Amino acid sequence: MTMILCFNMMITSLIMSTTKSTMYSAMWLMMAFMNAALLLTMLEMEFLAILMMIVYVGAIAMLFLFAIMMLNLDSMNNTHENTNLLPISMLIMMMLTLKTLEQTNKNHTHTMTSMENKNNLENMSTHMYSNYSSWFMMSSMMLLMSMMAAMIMSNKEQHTTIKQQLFTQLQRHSK
Amino acid sequence: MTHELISTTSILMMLMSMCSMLLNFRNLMILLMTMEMMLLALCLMLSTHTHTLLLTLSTMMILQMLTIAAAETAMGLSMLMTYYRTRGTMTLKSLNLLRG
Repeated sequence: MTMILCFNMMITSLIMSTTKSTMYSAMWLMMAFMNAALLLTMLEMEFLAILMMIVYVGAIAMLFLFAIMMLNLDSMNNTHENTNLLPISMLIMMMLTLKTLEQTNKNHTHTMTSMENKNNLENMSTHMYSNYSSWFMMSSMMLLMSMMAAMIMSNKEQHTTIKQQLFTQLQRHSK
Repeated sequence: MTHELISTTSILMMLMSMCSMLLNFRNLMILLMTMEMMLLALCLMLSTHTHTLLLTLSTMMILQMLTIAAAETAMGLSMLMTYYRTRGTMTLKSLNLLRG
């Protein structure tokens, strides 16, 4: 079962980066998130799986869909080829692959508090609300900041308002 | 066996997303989607680490990464929208104003 899901994830991520239409890419992204949620359920982390479905598929993928439909991205697929960037991108890709494949058979040792015999949600909540409560509060502040930034950035500048200067308009003296 | 399988798939997904980011000739939106894919690969890797090493820190890192991904997507999309409003296109080739 995990083999099927892992294979599915790789296939969906490949399809997502190679389809012609942007809308289908968003759909394949959603499929990849669903496969990841199923994989997390196989690893007995069911809270994170449901959380990923709600946050990623329910919010972020919907954001993508709305942005694609609002900006009408499907009908503007111009193929301007940037093939003059191919050599440098090949170099960067080779360096990145080498650096990731270096780390495969190394022993990384960690020292941290261990999990007791609880389920996923109880594990996270015992740490999140007591020892790492500052992480929790910092993430909420970050979400607030991103919300404010998104609201400020998507404001259209209004050039049609007439601003009034009451005192100068109602003055009686002539110039 | 399952842990090695999932960790290899996450590594392969990360590499594929990095390659598709560098070979992206279409949209700036695809770039944002590949970044989400990279974060997903990282989340999978961390979840296998919680299962093998019995750490809770990886699970909490996944939670933090979820919030960071949501915030980053929101701001990236709003930036993309303002870029589209000022420039009119969303192709990658239109980012070359400084080149002349």
